[in-house]
Amino acid sequence: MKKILLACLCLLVTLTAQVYAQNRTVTGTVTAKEDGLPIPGVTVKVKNGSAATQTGPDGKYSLSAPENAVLVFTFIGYSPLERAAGSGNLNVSLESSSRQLGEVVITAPLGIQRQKRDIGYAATTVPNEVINAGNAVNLANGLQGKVSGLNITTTNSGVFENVKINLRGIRSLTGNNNPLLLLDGVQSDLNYLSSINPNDIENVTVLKGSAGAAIYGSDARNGVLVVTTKKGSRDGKPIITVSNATQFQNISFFPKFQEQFGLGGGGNSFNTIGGYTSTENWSWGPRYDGKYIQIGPDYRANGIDLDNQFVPYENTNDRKKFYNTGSVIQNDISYAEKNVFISLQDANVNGIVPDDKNRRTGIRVNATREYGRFKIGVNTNYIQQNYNIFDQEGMSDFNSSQNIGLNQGLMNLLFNTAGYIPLTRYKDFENDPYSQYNNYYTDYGLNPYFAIDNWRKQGKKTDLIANLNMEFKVADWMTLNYRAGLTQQNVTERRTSRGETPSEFGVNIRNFGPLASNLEERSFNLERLSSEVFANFNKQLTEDFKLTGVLGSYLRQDNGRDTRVGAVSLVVPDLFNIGQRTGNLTGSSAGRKIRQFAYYGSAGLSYKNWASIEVTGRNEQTSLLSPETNSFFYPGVNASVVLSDALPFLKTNDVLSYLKIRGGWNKTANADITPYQLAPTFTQGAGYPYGSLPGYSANDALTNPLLKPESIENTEFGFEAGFLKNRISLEATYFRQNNTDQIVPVNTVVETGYTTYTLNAASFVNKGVEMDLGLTPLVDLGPVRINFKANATYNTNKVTSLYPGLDQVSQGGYTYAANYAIIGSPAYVIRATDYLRDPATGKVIVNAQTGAPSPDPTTKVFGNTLPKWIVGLNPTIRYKGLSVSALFEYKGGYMAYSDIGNAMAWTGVSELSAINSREKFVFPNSTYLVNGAYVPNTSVTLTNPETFFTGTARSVASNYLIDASSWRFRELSIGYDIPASLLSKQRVIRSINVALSARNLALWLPKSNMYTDPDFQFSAAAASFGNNTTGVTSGNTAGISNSSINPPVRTFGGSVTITF
Amino acid sequence: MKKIAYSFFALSLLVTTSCKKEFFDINDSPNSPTEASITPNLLLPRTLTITASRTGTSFDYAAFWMGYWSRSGSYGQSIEIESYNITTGFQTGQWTGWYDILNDINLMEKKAKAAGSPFYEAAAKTLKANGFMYLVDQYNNVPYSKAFDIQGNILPGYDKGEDIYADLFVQLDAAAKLFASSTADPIAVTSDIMFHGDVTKWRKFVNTLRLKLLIHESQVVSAAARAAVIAQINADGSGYLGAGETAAVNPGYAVSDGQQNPYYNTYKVTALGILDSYNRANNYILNTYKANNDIRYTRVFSAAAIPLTPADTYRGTNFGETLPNSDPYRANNQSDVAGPGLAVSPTQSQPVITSVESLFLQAEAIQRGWITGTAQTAYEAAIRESYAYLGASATDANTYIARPNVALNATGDPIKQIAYQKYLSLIGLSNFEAYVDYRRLGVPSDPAIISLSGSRNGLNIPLRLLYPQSEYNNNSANVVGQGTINAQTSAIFWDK
Repeated sequence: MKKILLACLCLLVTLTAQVYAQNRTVTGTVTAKEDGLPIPGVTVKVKNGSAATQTGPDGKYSLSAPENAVLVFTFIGYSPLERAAGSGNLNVSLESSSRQLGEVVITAPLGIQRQKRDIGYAATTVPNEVINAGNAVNLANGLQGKVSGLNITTTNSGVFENVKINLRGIRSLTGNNNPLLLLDGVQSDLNYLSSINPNDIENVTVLKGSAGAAIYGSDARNGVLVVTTKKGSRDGKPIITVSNATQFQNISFFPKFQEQFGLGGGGNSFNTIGGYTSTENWSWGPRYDGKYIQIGPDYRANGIDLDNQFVPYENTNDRKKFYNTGSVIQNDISYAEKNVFISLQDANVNGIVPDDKNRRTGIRVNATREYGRFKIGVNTNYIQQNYNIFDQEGMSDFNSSQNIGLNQGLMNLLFNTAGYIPLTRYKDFENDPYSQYNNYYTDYGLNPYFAIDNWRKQGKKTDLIANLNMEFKVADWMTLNYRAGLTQQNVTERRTSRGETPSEFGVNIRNFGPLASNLEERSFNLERLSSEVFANFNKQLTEDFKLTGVLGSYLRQDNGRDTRVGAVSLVVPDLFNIGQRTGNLTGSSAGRKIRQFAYYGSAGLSYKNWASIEVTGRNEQTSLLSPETNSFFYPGVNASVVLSDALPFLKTNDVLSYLKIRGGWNKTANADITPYQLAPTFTQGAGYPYGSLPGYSANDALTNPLLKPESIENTEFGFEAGFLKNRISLEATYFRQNNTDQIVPVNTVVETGYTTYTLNAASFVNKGVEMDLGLTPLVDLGPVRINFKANATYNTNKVTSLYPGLDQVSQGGYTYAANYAIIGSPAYVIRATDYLRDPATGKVIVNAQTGAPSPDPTTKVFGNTLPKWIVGLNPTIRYKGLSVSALFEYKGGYMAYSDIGNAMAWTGVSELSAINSREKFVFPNSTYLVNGAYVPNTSVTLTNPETFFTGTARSVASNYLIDASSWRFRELSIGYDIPASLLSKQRVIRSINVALSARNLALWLPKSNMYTDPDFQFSAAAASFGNNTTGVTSGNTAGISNSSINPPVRTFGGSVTITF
Repeated sequence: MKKIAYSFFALSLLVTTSCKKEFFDINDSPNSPTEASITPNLLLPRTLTITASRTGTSFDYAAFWMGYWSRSGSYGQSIEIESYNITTGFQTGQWTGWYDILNDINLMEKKAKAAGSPFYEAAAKTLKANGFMYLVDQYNNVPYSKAFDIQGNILPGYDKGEDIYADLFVQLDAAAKLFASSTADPIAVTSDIMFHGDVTKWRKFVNTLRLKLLIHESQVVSAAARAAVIAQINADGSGYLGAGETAAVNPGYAVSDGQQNPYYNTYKVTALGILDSYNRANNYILNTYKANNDIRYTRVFSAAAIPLTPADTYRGTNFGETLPNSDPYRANNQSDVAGPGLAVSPTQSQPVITSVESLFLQAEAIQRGWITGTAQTAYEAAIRESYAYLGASATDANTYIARPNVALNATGDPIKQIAYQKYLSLIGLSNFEAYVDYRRLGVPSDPAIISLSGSRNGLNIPLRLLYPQSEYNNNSANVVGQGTINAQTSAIFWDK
């Protein structure tokens, strides 16, 4: 596998092979020492001569060489080998090493290939094999834990696997800290990451700092993911690859539930434990006794021909069983030859939520052609996703219209189900009478199986990504390039509620109301057109000096519309047509258009191939800001020196094989706001228009019309070193970003007239160190090689100033716990409500009679919500065709707020709610007032845990703050290449690879975290415009989780890949 | 080839570099109107509808605390309402809801002033006074002079409740004078969905509001300050809202989702057919009506949809009581709070100040000697108006008035007697006014209105709301500067 990867890297720096007819022909096969497999793409050169060639796909070469010539075999990742060309045949085997560190090629801005040794900033290339080691469906998941400084969190586990991506922490307080996705050289929406077939990827280069912004502009301020798709086969011969990957998902972590108490409530100071209620949603009832007990109403007594339900009064595990084992079946076929790459993919995803499905089908055609000095390339990718999922928003809209609180999502229906309820028995709500709407056991909640069937979201999302590249070689040292890009996304979606009219029993006995039958049709489209022209210079000035440079301009327009039309009440249930309704149509048709234009340039000078310096500059103009502030310029500079080549005494050093130091400084400016934001707008009030009468109200958001772009000043220093013939490699970067004039939507109080005021409101410094360590091999036992890689990032930031008059800025979250930027503290910290405490001792003040604490409305700072440390450990073992790779990840030094803790305590299902078995207890570490002095409380008991948890405790968010640290076994993959010897008897199949993989295998959490995998965080939907069902979320409400997200999952499965 | 290539690249360079200023001038919203296209007549209708719907449907908590309403047998306890142990998350919509309307009103006032349209300016001042009254009566000190100035006061300071009251009288007098000077605007006839441009009715409304504010501070207002306001009212000369002159709003309520009369929609049934099954008659007031043979209970409450026994046609619940599951009475077996006298139709107008309330205010002011008239006559007229408003017969009203315990002097404290009869008349019409009178005069004084909740732990009916958590989160220094607020003891300035 590794050879193919290295071969592809090599191809990028392919030297033109020229073969001179000489005395005689030498032929042979180049194999790898470790496994004996042939290596394609090895450069074979005559020492001190000009003759050279490359090995073919079978590792064979043929070269004319003078007599007594010495052949040099070089290949990236392997130690070069010199051998005298004896008679006719010369077979060699190469030993792998990472000696050639400096030769690694990086896809630098504009897709230009640069040697890593020349680059003054941190960049890492991740090849296809590494990305797909765990068969991730989503490219982002495939990158998780593999690059230092890259923090990818899966925020939900639905059929779309939403992820959030940060590189080197955050630079914007406002929310968008997403890196730029550069797809085959074209700036694209990061959401496409979830649409691209990971198997189409040639490699991904991660530009970690904002260096890419010098060329790509402000969207690259958070780093760049340069994704290059496959363009053709490596050796020019046709290759067909067929693969199947099948994976399963199950829940990896479920919140901790109490297992002692059933339905009921009404506990008070006399009877701490409440009475039993067979139709309750609260689990505040009596203790389980294992005897049969009634659940649900008395059917026969109320004229329904059904026996009452009796179940054992003991805990079951049915809530967890509600979720299915999800599956992903992916079939791929691709065809590649010299200039063409075609792939088809079909992925069938069945979610863990029953009935959630998504089917993704994609086709890609990449083609290039050269006509002399002119080269043209076209990449097209069309992806269609058809999904049918539970419409969570539909249910929560219904709940809020019913004034049912705390009902954010599906998980909440489980929190309203007691532990002894045989939930899975209610699956067949259409035929089983006990599962039906009117007969379901509780009066206060829906059968979750009914709910997921009632509210559905069905949609089709299509993406077309196309780009055209033209390159004209003006001279050896100059090319002109033109690049046009089109990305187009269309979503057609319908959200439906089947509705239900309650029976007489439902209305009269159970007080059930009707469930409206409704429909919303949505059509969303967004297209981005870009046009870029640039000249690329690469001139060897003298023997020692080389000049490189770029000069170009970039123009882009985004155009979109989001149209929604709905009917709130349909006449005939299940007849989903907005024409068949009562009442008025609802809907909106918001549009947006954004234009950006920039020109840019860079100039680089390199000396003797060991010292380089580059200066960059870009001027950008955007339609988002007012004419006074909409044009801005930002410069940058970076430099690198390969000391191991520059300093004579290092050249010969046996210990230090390679050493490069680098540094860079650049500035970026950006205005990442939505269009039309500068002037405050008005909306028709609810119910308006009444006939011909309009009625408007001012919107709650205000923006300073003279908003300036925010600015990021990035400084970084780093080194890359190899020791002991590069057996040990080490790379480290220190970075510091000074972020000023941050555009922040400050949460303001309503009496100002607005609830958010967007201003240049804050400045903060973000800094850290990222480190990569490689031990290749760690252990070399001849046939068995164990490699080890580790990466670590330490990242912290500090708010340095805020808008005059403000000492803190709040940014998302809940009323009682939210993210704040506070001067002198990291962004973000969680501020939350706590109990009233005795300032002298910190003890919780309780009422001297009732033993109950009270909430303190003045919130306190509890800690930061972004991880300080992220560590990835990646051992790999290779033995012949077998390879085993594991990935462990640690994130630590941060905290999170679990709103589900609150929701679970309210219904009495959480482990915490059963504290002290619900008997009276002395509130831990408490005190009360006696004659004006606080005395430690040892005797006054809190008389009623139920009232406490369903009352006071709900407004004390500190109860549900958790240490978010975690260690996880992120990925395990075991791959096996069928030995070539087994395939040698036929000529059809080139190779067969079989792999087993698993992700998120194990999770180790601190005790305080009883609620969730801290990676799974709630991210509020962005603006309503283009509010995507899928993809990457940009919300900054770090460290917040609630019941609208599904429980976290682990994935395991296998794949077979056959190459013809 | 070469030539084509060069000219192509030259052309594309030209195209992409020739961006003019207009090219970027695409940032005017195509989706929503901005300030330039908003005139006062576009703001007035919505501020009126929201003012009316807040008055009519946002004060459930007062109805619960005052013994009017109670939770049906279909629901579990509402902890904070029933335990009186309220938090900073309780009723936060009072703060955000009123300030949201007030911001629109404030904009309307500025725009009207700039455009020289006194009618809208006066309407704005009037509605602003009404809104701030509700804020002060629930929170005491609130941002007033520093509000709605985000550039100057991003963290608005608080004004004292009594200072705000004092300024509201100044604003209301200015409003009365502006109304007097303005003529009916043809557009106002449609956008003024309360009085259709009738400035005399507006002036009556202003005067009634002034009287209402004076009555609220009856226990603390100085004679001089009070006399000055009365003099202003008399100088205006339009009088107060009289019998049949309820100030009510109707934008064109219709039987359609989101467009029904708010009271009907909230407490009876929505356009989608969802019945209110939460709010039910409180046994306290239901039994009081029944004991006095006061037929109005059949007008403010509905007969139970499914009475369990013939005696249960009108049945309520006891506030705060937690009944065992075996209790057979559910929402359907109990009386809802949208009786035929209150919820007449889904398209009825929504009152802001009713004629009933106006007449009781006048009766109390006469009794106190603030305005001229005969207290006995005014008192009886107010009770008759209540009967008439609810569609009960005049005969029944006369029978009721003839009861010895209804006589003005029955208890020896006519002011409290007026307030008590006002209490029995305002259910569903102005639940909040009853809560004001309770705090001001201690009427009703019956301990039976207190919650039966087991988690009450000896707490009493709160004297005010706590500032919302959003103030502690985002305007912390100013709210903390108000000191520790205790809902049990920190009274509104007029509550002495």
